Amino acid sequence: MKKIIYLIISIILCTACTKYEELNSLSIISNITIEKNENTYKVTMQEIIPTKKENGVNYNYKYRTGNSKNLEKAFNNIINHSPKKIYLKKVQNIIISNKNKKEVVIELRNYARKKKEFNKETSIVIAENDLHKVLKVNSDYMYIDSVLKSKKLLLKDLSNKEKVKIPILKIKNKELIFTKYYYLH
Amino acid sequence: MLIDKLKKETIHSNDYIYKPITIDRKEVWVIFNEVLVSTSDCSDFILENLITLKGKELRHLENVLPDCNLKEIKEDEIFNYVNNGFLVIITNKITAIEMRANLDRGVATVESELSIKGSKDAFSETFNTNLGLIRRRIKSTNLECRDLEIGRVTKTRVGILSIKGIVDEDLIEQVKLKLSTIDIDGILDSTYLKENLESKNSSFFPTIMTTERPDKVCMALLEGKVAILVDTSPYVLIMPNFFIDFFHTVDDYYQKPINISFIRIIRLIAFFIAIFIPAFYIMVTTHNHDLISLDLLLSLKAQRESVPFPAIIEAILMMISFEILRESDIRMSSTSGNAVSILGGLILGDAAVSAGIISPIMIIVVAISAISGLVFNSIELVSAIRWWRLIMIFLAAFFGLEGVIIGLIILLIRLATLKCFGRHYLAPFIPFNRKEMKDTFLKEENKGDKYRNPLLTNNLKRGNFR
Repeated sequence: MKKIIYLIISIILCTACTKYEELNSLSIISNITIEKNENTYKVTMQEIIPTKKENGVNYNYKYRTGNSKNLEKAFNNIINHSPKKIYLKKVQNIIISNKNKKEVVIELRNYARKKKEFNKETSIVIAENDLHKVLKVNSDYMYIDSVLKSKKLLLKDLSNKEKVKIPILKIKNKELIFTKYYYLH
Repeated sequence: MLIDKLKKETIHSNDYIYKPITIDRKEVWVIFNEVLVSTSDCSDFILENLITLKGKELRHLENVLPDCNLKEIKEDEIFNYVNNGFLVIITNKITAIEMRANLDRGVATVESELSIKGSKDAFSETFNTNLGLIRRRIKSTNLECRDLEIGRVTKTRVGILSIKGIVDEDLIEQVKLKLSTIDIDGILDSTYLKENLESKNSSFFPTIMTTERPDKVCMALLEGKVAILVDTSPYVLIMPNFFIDFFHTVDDYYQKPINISFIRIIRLIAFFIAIFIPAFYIMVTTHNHDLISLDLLLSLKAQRESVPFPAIIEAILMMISFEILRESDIRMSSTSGNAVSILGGLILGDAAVSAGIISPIMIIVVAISAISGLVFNSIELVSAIRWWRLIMIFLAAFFGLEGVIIGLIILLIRLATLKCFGRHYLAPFIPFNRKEMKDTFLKEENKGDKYRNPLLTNNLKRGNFR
């Protein structure tokens, strides 16, 4: 009887075997940028590559881009063509371009509700400048968080609330500053 | 003739001496084993007096020979006494006189159960010395020692100690029954008895404690437990034991309760660290990466970058290396033991990290886990922790967080269903007994010493108070 119970528990637990992923086989994404030009969505993922150094860890960055007419397909272009598994649960910020921001935010909201890989604590930000320049303002992946502080809008709030206010940032004197909110109904 | 029969039995052993003496034209035989008796004492006190005796005095040897342990025995008991260091004189009756040689190392010093305060004497291999150390502390005729002889060939003396009026008589009967079922050729150590005395539902966790400290045995006897002394073994068995007993040390009763509570909580934390830390590390690096912060995740990733093995292989390799080092350290003599520790710890560990075989964090995790496990005196508990650590590692590697939680549930179920001589192993937690919680992980001020554990005895009061 005991053996049968252990066997049943093992079978139930075996479903978790498929989630085995070594840390070395993951691409950890820190920031994502999304822009829409005409009818094409361009998604760029910033991957952090930590390397050991004498007194700590050194961070290098790699950028992966995907284009498509559909936001989901743009994400899938990157996810499916990456040599390592794209890990989205530690994404700090999703930065959206100021151009066509409403459509992008609504698409993003629909996509986030559908996909469970996203971290619900990811903050959503709109940038007035070129997105690639925004990412390169400061190499620290926590920089945007430190600029936003209490003004953050989280992905879970975007998904759950009907009325949201998204902070807008811009580059001034080689630093990111908060300018205003964008209100979305 | 009796002597011929006895000589025939020991024809191939030259250490059995058969000395004939003629006293008043009567033949007297003196039989002893020259390696077990003190031959100088025999010559000085027994033989010297014996040869001066007259025929009539042979009938009352107890009045003429200077020995406090002199008894009349039967024919079939001769070798039993000779093998226990007695000198046997055969006249018209058979008399055994204790003449034991000093074959032990005296009262030893504690080696494995060190304490900051408290006595430093420890048991040795001689039954009488060990019993003496206990009787020195419990000067009461209520301290009973029931003797048994176990082992068809070794005929080892085993003593069941208990305090009349405190111990539960059923417990003694259970112990005696279990010991009576042992049918073996020899008992060389107290651990030989453990297998028969422990609970049948096999578990890695120990239910019988072994100790080399007389003060610990006396504390246990005063609580209503039973102790078993085995001749030629410096370790005494104490039973029954609860899970919480293995978190207590002798030092706990020599310090302030608030300090004791702190140290016991540290031991509890060490217990969980020892079992779960490697599993937690494997869990977060293979299944549940979202449980830790991004900073820590990136740091772990950086450290594992050049490691060619999966996390579970790394963990098992490190565990095996540590166990080999520990085993070799125990077996080595003290002069070369230190060199082995330095070789293993610094050189192998440092070299393995530099070569990129093992990540530094894995060495830290396995080291913390192993050191936490060594906090406990009981080697059986340390072994149990080691097995459960391995089980948790496999569960974490295959099933992640779900596996670890299931492992924790199974561990708790195992502990909760384990019994020791009819008493629940997790008492007083399961079944919950609020009154007995006063001396578990937290020790209350001066309240733990007035009453005994009701699971061990019906005589609850330790003193004459209202």
